[in-house]
This record gives sequence, C-alpha cells and structure tokens, in this order.
Amino acid sequence: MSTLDWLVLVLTLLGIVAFGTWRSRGVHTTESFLRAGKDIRWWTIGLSVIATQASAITFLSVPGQAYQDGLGFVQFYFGLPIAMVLLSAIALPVYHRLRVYTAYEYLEQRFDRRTRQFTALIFLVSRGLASGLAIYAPALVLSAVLGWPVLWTNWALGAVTIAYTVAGGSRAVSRTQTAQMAVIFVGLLLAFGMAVSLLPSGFSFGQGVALAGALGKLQGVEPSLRLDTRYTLWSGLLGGLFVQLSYFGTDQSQVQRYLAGGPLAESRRGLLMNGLLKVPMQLFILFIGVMVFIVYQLTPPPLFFNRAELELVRASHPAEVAALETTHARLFAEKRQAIDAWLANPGEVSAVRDAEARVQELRKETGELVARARPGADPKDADFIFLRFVLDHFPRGLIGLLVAVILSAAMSANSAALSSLGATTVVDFYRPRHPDASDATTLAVARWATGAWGVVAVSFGTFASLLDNLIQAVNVIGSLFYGPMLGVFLVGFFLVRVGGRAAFWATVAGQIAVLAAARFGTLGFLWYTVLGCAVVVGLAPLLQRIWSPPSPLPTGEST
Amino acid sequence: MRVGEPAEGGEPRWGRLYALVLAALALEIAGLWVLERVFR
Repeated sequence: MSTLDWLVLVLTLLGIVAFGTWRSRGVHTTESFLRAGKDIRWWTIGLSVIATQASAITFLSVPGQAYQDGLGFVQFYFGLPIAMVLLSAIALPVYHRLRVYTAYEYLEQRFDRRTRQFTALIFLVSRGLASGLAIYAPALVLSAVLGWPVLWTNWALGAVTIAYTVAGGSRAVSRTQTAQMAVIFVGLLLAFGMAVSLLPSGFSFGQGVALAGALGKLQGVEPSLRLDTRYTLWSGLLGGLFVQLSYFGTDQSQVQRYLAGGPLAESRRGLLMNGLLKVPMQLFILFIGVMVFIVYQLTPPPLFFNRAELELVRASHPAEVAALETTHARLFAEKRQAIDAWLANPGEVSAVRDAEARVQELRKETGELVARARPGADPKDADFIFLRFVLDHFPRGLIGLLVAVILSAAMSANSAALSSLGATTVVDFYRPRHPDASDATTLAVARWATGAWGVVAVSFGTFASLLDNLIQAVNVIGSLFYGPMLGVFLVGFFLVRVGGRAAFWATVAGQIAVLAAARFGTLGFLWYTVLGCAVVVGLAPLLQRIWSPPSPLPTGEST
Repeated sequence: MRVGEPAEGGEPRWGRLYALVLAALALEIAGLWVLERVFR
C-alpha cells in the first residue's frame, strides 16, 4: 500500500473511533453502558443491526463467492425479512414489556434462573469463540495479501475495538456503527463504479451483464427441491428463517442492538429497516463480485488469487506452476476470441461457455497442486478474489478506503459481540449474585468483563491457525449452539404449559444431542440448528407431562 | 400487540409495514427470477 493509502486508512479508522467516542461521552451509569440510550432513533438501530451482522468476512468472501457461483448465495437471506416481521410482532413486545437488558432475563421470568443462566452460558461460549475467529479471519487474509504480520494485525484490530467498546459501552458501539456503515456504503459504491469503469472501451455495462447471464452468474433463484443443493429458494426461505430467527431473536449481540432503551416503535422500525435493506444490500455486494468476474473475462485474471500461496508452491514446484500459467494464458486468449465472436453474434454462446468451463477446470487443477505441494494450505482462493482485484486495479487512496471498509466491518461486528458478552456476564451472572452492589461497582464490573472477553476472544483467534478452514469454523460454532437456544425461546413463547424444570432439561438434552451429532454422526452442520431446536421443542412438553400430569377434570364436569 | 392492529398515538399501522417488508421480498425474488431468464 502507498503512503496515501495508509493516510486514508488511518484517518478513516481514527475518524470513526473519534466520532463514536465523542457521541458516547458521558457514560457514567450501568444503564447508559449497557443500553445505547433512550434517544436513539430507528435508523441508528437499523444501521447498527445491519453492521453487527456484516462482518469483515462478508466483504472478503461474498464477492468471491459471486465470482465463482453467481448470485445464488442471496437466497440464504430470503428468510431474514420474514424473521424481522415475526420478531417485531411476537418477541419484541414481550422483551419491551418486561424491560429486559438481555434476552436471557426473559427466560427467568418465564421459567427459572437455571434455564436463564444455562442459555446465557451457551451464548457466552458460542459468541466468545466466534468473535475470536471473526477478528482473526480478516487479519489472516490482510496479512497474506499485504504482508502484515498476522499476530500484530490480530492484536491491533482487537485492541482498538476493545478500547472504544470498554470506554463507551453499547452507546459507543451503536454510534460508531453508523459511521462504519457510512464508510462501508461509500466504499461499496466506489468499488462498483470502479469495476464498471474498468470495462474496456467499446464494451458496455449492458453487454457485461448479458455476458454474466450467458455464463450462468445471474441465477439468484433456484426453485429446485433438491436437498443436496446448498442454496435454493426453499432452503433460503425455510432454513434461512430458522437461522435468522435464532440469530436475531436469541443472540444478545443482536438483541442488545434493538433493545436500546427507547420506545417499542423505534426498535420495531429498526428491525423492519433491516428486513427491507438486507436482501438488496447482499445482492449489491454479490453483484460487485459479478462485475469483478466480467472484468476478468476481458482482462487476464491471476491463475490463483492467493498470490503468496502460489509463490510458495512455485518455490517447490516451479515447472508445474509455469506449465499451468502457460495453459492459463492460452485458455484466456481462446475465451477472449470466443467472446468477440459472441459480441458479433449474440446467439453463439456455447463457445464462450465451453472456454469458461476449461478455465474453471484449470483453476481446479491449480487448487489440487496447492493441496498436493503444501498439505494443510487452503486450496481455495475465493476469499482472496476481491482484495486481489482491489490491489491490482484500484487507484491509490481508494485501496486504503477499501481496506478501511474491511477493517470497519471487523470492528463493528466485534464491538457489538464484546459489548453483549460483557452485558450478559454482568446482567445474567453478576447481578443475580450481588443484588446490592452499587451502580458504580456494577459499571466497573461491566467494563472489566467487556475488556476481559475482548482479550479472551483475541487470544482464541491467535490459536485459530490450528483450524483447517476459518469461515467453516465460524459457521459450525454458530450451528452447534443456536438450535437449543432458539428451542427454549420458542417453548417460552408458544408452549404456555411447560414449566422451568422441563424447559431446562429439554435444553440440556438438545445441546447434548447436537454435540453428539457433531461428534459421532454424519449430519451436515447446517442441520444442527434444526436438530437442537426440534429436540427442545419436542422434549419439553413431554417432560412436563411426565413430571406434572394434567389434573383430571372435576367429577361433576365429566361426561 | 397483534399484527395489523391500529396503532396508538399516531404510530404507523404495523400490519401495513409488515406487508410492505414481505411484498418487497416477493418483488426481489420475482425480479431475480426475471433477470436470470432475460439474460440467460
């Protein structure tokens, strides 16, 4: 990166942190530390909810995913607007009426303290581990591409996030997230404009879209009922609904965003804003990936987007890498000819498709060589596509801004996670044991808990290099714990006869079932949420019936 | 509060907002379906 890029990057990040810290000054009570504030408006809540879900992995991985597989990933988000409507109508009024700080407080009011604390503990473990990985994943990619030392990147990113989250609490998180989202939106718009401007003269945007369509990159809806296809219309609407309900309804990192302390109407509008904007936003990020794909149909792409990894392979297998590069250049020239012929006669698309299939086959062979030459290295390069494109084609200054977008996303998602971990530790574990503690003491404990969780998360991220695939690990961690959490909340909301004892043991059983399935079974991890939820919802009424059979009807009323 | 109940004190009618969010989703799905067929 050039000096100008560094200047843009540092000034943008410092500006965001300074803005958030200034807007959250005067946090002197536990209430103001744990809640964003009564004066927070719905658009801040909406932006904060969107920023919490959009981690750095979103901006690194999603364009690369569209480059490889087209728009299909957007279907994963189809359940989100439905989840926002259901939560606004059902869960939000309950949380507001009970004036809870954390979602788990509801469980004590509905069941008992141990059900609340067991569920809160599941959250602390899962979110603590996931946020460690969410800091480490972008640090790893940025290190590989920019040559930054991974350990320092990990700790620097973590330290800045911990500092402003401990200083300003939930209020600082929400205020900072509005500035982070502004930078993210501006960065994405500029990235899109830049990709369009990189199309060669004489080749229009419309022709680019037509080319992407001809090569199958515009398929955003897959109506098939096949269960072995990961993203379909139905898995998005049904499976996605489950995932989003559990994430937004029971994960404190989101619940804390919309239970800001203001009126119910503001929280509702914020959630519905997320429901309206999320699918178009994901579609836009995916479409940037499609634009990168179009540009690389007309200008030569790298053989392998993780350049540092390819150079390591070249050191041990120079002849094989050179041969692949020669073939790659030849295949690109053939495809370019096929595209020119297609431009002259748009009906002749099969030659372009055949040429693209040969390029994809060669990319696969390159991945196989990487796996063979360096066992343990990631043979996939999708997460590097967007960043490599930015570094190779964007002007000075704009590169710094795009790196700032990725770091802003990492900081926004993780500050919300740390704030929620601190809040849950204090509200669900410290306060019940120390009900007479002064507000100043509780505030100090909240700050210490937030900071300590930050250190735990960043330290765990340091060991994450031992895991095979980071992004898969993030998803697996979520899937292991979300099912039982969603299950106990559904039992609370809808199965009114079930009491605390049955709910607690059903939740324990649900968690054991998921861990057992993960350890001994062959079930795909996307199904863990459904399994855990089903065990809790199925078992709780059964246990309730065994332990407290319904009382027989009075004799006089029997027929 | 129930879905669609008339809100108090000048608040929006939530049922209409919910319908708007779901209608936007339906339009997006339909739009994507058409886009793919136009440029196939």
